[in-house]
Amino acid sequence: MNSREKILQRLRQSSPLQNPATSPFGNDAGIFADYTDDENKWLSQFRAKFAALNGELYEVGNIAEAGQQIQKLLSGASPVLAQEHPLIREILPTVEPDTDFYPGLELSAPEFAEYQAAISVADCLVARTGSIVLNSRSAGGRRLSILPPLHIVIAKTNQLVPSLSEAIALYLKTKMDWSYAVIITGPSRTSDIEKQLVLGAHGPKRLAIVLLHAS
Amino acid sequence: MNTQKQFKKQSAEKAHDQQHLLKIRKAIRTYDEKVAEMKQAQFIDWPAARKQAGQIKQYVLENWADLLEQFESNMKENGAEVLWAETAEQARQIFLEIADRHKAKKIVKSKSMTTEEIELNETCEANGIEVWESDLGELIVQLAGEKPYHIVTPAMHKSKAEISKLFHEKLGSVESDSAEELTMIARAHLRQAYVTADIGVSGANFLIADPGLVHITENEGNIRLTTACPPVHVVIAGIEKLLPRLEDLALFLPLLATSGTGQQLTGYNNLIRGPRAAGEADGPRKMYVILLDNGRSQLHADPKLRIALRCIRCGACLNACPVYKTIGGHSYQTTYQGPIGAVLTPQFRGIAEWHHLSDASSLCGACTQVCPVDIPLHELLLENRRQSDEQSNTSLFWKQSLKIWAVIMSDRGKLNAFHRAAANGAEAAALLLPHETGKRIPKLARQTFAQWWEENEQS
Repeated sequence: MNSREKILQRLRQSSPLQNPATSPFGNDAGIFADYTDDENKWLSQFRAKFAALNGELYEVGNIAEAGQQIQKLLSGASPVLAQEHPLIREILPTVEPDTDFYPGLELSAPEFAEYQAAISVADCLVARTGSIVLNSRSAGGRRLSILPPLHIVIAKTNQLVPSLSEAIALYLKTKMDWSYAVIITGPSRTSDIEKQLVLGAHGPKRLAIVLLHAS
Repeated sequence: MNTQKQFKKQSAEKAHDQQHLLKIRKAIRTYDEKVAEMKQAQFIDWPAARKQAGQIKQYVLENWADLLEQFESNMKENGAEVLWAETAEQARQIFLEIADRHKAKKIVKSKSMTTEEIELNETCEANGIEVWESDLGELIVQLAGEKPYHIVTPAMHKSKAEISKLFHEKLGSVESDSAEELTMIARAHLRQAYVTADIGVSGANFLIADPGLVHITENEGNIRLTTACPPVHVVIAGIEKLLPRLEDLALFLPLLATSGTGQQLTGYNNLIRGPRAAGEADGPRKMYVILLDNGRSQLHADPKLRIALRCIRCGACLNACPVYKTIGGHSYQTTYQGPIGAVLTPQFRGIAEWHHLSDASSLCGACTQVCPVDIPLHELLLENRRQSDEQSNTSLFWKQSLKIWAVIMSDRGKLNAFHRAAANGAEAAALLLPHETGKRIPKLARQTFAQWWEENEQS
């Protein structure tokens, strides 16, 4: 018998538990004090939570404004590496050059180290926690959004969901054909030295969202 | 020196080390404030939430074998390889075979208590493989040649000045009294590791059975880099890390962040389904998951203690424990410290050698009160003591004393007589106490409470 079979057999042989679990599954509305199902409050909740995490939120009305905002963000932070995506292609012609599109693994580590900012899209924004959810297929791989010191996310207001359970439910409705997803809650941080908060431990020191208001 | 004597010696030293005490108290005070605030702000009913989390984990323990098989087959479908290790030695062998297959000379590692449990760093170094710890706290203890002090905050016991000196000596950096500058030194130091390592090694916080994925939580981004850059990713996880469904994370992530660090959510919650999928831009080309048993399935056979396998390693019981706060993490000499360590270690490593950890508790129940998955920790410490006694680890003197005590306690008159004798005896004994210990015996009241009540009760 191999290790796998031995382990599984031991687990199956154990006597039944004394207090069998009854109803193991619940929902966010009944658990979290800051949960709101009022769609009109999600944006203001997201603004407050994201700001408290030291995130930078820029709200814009159209593609041209998005381009101007990104331009401002990139002053002193170039060159920039962008995800190959129709929305980003649409915004970027209005931005100065010095922008490359992420080619994937063929970009070597030393070349990658040159980039001062990354631009990607996201799958959804979580109002209750101020989080951004994205995955390796929809947001241009795993390295793009973690290596450069500034990560700019382009999102739309209709991507807001109230809480984590809705964000997860959105994924479960899809094929989930990605190998990696991440729930990002604020810029990279650590408190390992005397419990003092420091931003930019290993990942981006700055996390910005350019939020397009859906018209 | 045996483990028990060593424990007593180190505990006595640490308990009188004022510098140490101040550092730990300060760190835990900051933690306590943040946790209290976050429980209040985030949860409608914290006790209800932890009860629910406990039930989900209980469900896992009841359906453990089935869920493990489900996890395995789902991960395989995504292209990951799942390997099973019954013991620490098997896990080490499996890892070395993987390293050999990929001709690995250098690994970058994120924080993982399971790799501490199997002593992966020592194994790698003995086999000529360089190990880079990427979590800031872990890097600090690695450079200092120490073991993690705390399962969540490994370098809790190091002051800024000590870290500055350490970095100066080991990394050749300029001394600094700024936490930010010190963090940036570590950042620069590790950037090379991510992009040159042959294998990225991580632990796991949760293994989701349906759909199969590995969840790992962090704040720094070092796990993201460790699992994104190297061409091979190896996960080493205890088999108890399972959760049935992805939806369960909606409760467990805020619960773990609140109990672990007083955050609403930690900075990055990574969900890893497998190696780079076809058509994706980057990611490792190979992913392995090593499932470690190492005593867990034996513990599951014990109907009273198996509830300890609910543990999600948040560290809350360490921070709440008056014993941990006094003797510190290193005195335990174990992978898992504090109350959960005192429950698990005697079970995993043998009661005869490790029962002193369960004995070193006042059974105050602070651990039970803070546990986010509702583990009755102090009752389990008591159960360990019972098992220890059953295996005759208790001294004859202690056993006889308890028998006499039982006789005294069974009769009010005998108890009163004993109290009188003790009150007199204590005063005499106080004079005999060696002066240099600094210990004093308080005076016992001349009356028992029962006697006082009889005289003073207003009818």
